[in-house]
Amino acid sequence: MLAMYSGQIGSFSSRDLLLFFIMWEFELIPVYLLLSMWGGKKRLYSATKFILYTAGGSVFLLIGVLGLGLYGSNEPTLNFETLANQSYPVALEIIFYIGFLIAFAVKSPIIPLHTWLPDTHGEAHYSTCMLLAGILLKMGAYGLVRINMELLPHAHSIFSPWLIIVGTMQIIYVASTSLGQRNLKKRIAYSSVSHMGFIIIGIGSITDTGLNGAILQIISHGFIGAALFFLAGTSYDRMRLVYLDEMGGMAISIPKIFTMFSILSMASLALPGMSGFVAELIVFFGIITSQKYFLMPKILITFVMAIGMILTPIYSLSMSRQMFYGYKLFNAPSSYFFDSGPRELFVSISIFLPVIGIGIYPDFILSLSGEKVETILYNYFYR
Amino acid sequence: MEHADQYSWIIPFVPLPIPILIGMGLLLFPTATKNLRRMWAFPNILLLSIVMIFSLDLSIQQINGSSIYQYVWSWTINNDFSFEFGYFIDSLTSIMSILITTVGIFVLIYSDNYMSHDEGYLRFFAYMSLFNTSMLGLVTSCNLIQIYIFWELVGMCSYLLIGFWFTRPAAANACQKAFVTNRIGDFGLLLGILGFYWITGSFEFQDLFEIFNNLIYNNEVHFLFVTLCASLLFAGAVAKSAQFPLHVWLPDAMEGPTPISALIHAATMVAAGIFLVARLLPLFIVIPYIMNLISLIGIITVLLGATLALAQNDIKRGLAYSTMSQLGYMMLALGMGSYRAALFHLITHAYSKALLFLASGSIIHSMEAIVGYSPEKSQNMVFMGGLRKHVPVTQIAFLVGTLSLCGIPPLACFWSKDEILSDSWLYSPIFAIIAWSTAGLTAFYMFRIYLLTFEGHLNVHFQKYSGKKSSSFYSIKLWGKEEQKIINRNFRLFPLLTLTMNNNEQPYTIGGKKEARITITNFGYKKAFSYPHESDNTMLFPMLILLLFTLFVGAIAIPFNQEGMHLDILSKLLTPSINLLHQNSNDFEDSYQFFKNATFSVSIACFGIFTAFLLYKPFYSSVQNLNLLNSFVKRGPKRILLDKMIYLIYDWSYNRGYIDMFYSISLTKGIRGLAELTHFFDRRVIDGITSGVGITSFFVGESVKYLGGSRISFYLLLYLVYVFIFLVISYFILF
Repeated sequence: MLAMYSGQIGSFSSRDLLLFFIMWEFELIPVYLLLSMWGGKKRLYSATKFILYTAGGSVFLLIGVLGLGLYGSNEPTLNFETLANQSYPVALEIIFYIGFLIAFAVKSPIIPLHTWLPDTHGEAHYSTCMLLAGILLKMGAYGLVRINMELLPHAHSIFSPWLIIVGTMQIIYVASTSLGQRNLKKRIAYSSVSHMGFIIIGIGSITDTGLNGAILQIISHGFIGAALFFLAGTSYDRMRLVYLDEMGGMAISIPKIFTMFSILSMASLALPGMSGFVAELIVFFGIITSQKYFLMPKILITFVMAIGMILTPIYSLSMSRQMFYGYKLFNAPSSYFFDSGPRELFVSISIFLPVIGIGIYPDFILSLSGEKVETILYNYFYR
Repeated sequence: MEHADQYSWIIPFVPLPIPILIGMGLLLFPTATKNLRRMWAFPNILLLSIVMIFSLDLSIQQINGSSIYQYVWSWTINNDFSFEFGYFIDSLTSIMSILITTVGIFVLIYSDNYMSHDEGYLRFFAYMSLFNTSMLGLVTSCNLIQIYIFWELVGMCSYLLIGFWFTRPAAANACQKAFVTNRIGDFGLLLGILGFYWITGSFEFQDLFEIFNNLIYNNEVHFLFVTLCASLLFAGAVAKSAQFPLHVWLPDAMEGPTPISALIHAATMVAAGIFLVARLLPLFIVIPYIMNLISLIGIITVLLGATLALAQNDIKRGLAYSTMSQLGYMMLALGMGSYRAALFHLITHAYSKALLFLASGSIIHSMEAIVGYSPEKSQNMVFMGGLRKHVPVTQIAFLVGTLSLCGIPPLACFWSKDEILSDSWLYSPIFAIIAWSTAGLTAFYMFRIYLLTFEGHLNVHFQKYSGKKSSSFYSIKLWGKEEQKIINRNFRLFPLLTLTMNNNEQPYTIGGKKEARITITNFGYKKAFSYPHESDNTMLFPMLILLLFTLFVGAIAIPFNQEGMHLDILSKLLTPSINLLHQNSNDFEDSYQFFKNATFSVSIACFGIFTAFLLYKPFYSSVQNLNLLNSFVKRGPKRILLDKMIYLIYDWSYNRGYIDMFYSISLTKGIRGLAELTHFFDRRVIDGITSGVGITSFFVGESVKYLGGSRISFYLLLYLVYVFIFLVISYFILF
């Protein structure tokens, strides 16, 4: 797990493309091991699926990295800053862009390439899930901002309408898929995929607000998704059930988990006062104010996104309803049923506090990200 | 008094510490917090009273010098956009905040007793004050985003409170239904907000109105788009106020505890939609079609709510439908542009309906002891009846509320309803006719509820219409066995009566014979039963106060015609606001018109009451009534038609107008189907592609392995074949 951390931190902090790639690959191994050792029944299948998908994505990443590095200069440079100042012919840029996009689309995930995620999450141990949902998925989005937007601005402005369309499709499609899930963790996993749609839209709407919203959404979803997985895992520890229709009536025996879970599912459906709401709202504004698109597509896209807003409470609330509401006697021995101890409570509250904090005062994040966002966007309008 | 204005931003935040403290306490020190349970109610009420004093002060200022205070501070700092928080206090805000705080205080006092035996007493109070916070925030907010935020928070509180008894599956379903339905409204609201932001570039009400009026004046906006946005905004109000297409959540929301129904689903939260429309009325007025749409929705809801309320068995559901219908009246008034009448009706209705709900809560509380703790039993009006003797105070309260809602003169709702009705004549005759006739229906169903509940004899003791209900008898240990046997034997005599009463269909078809039997059987065993008792003083006190409110709140709009000045408080409060219809006739010179309207509406209401008496007069009360019923029966062939009609209406009403069914079939099934479909698609197609790739690669690998299977003869064969092919090709090329 520590190895995984180092890989992740490494890839976030690397200023060099090659190092970025190496770290990217490096964190696959511990995840694979974590998956295949501590997991459910189908863990080998899902671990293999995970490694194949991500390794397949990495090939494209490698192509992109090498291409970028070798192009144009006498000796290969892989430094971000020098690369950011280079400009490329449009065709080549598009090719690179597609390569990176596929790599990040696998990781983030974007729809046709998302199926590894529910499987992986469905099988993994919950702490692995937390890391996967909280951090690993964010690497894709981070890469999208960092490399695709920063290094390849022309291609990005060409591709951004498609990104937005894909994002909206993803919100609707995955949200409705999530309804059909019976497995608790898979449902949460699909919900996190659906939230990724907002990030993609925010990235695609090339505006200050949109990008800020996307970054905020990355952070907020990191907290919320991780916390949801954590709570699902803790309640799984007590129930030993993963299918939603077998559950029910948990609220009496574990009121604290119930409270936290309902608060966080509220946060995940973007209740105001939580970070998810701010992020989604800012993304909405990003779309509305972006000058790149015409009126009709904007209306259409906002409309469809807002339908996603209706679908989200349907699945997340019915999830918590099926888990906790109602009254049901278990045949499981009742001695396992103790409420969450101080440790679990501490973890969930400490995740929950930033969620509230960002929700009430989003300037914490925005003041940090705003400057960088402006420099990135500077490229689009003044070059 | 300047300081009061400066610090009035604190209004929504005063009740906030309580939910935070209780929440923290429950999470971290559960036992200690639970031991202090009664202690928490006091700061709750105290803080709310402080808010009430504040808002009273504000409204007095509003009356004296009608002024608007606004203070804005920034929430998000960025270059392009900034959200600003602020407060915006005008007459509307002060009215609403007084309403919320007064009803809130009484409901809190009431529920201190009502919930005292509940496990989640503290949770209840935390939710309640959270709700008060967000509701006060809603009414004081100054821009659309802030409204949206508190709008959602109010929705969440309602979700939590409906699902308060979460062990009950019906409550779980109901709260989810409420939230999702409200979310549809929020969806419209958000889109509308964004649309208007796109048009005008501002969220602040003042700027919004100004810019928008300029744009309209200069004809610069795309008309269709504006209408779309406005109707989307209106959709939010529709969902929150339970208007026609999205009303389905309100009756189900009655699964929550009764104080909640009184506070949220009768007085305050459902009024939020009305509030929103009233707040945005300057916006809606300049877009003509929207006003028509609003009044149309209003009138549909009026009629629908009234017809659906006709045959509800559950006392709270009946009240919920009547709430819906009354909200329809307000919407209608807003759509007609008579702002004042709508707000007036909002106030009067809130007090009367809160009174009604509290009274019904008291009934339920007293019935629960007898029939058992299940909403199907304790809220079922079939089991009630004859409660007048046992709960006299509640009965008076309920009667006053009922009369007020029917529009009987000295009571509150008379004034406001009459105003709406007379305005509707000015607007359109068709709407007016519907509104009038619905007033009669209102009187009818309210008195139906009243009569079934309080008149006659207690019906609990007749319950034997289905076997399972008898279990409630066993739960009461007061009785001996022998008595019970006798009771059961007697019950067998009149299954028909109880059956018809259960369905509430044509109860008057029971002829004289059976009634005689009933009176006989009822005779001897009266004293063996335990009777519902009156509630405690803590519950009666807020009811009485609300009763006073109901009696006198109508006075704020009675014009004091002395000295030639037209001085009624409400119009003074609302002078700067809009009056479309009353431009010239704001003075009540035409008191003749007023009296004519008043007598007409009262007579309609009386007609409704009379019909209710006729139909639901307890069967076994008096000989006269018997004759009357017999004369009814003797009417002959006409009656069959009438029967059919009534049956049809009951069927319609009992099945909730088939709207719920339609929704559940079309939407829920549709969404489930979609979910299944996408799930299938996800599994088979998208996953199938990758698995297919995996499998093909596996086969390719296998075949390659097979080919490379290290047999020399095979290699030789391959070699020879290729050489042969090469030769043939070269041969063809050469020649």
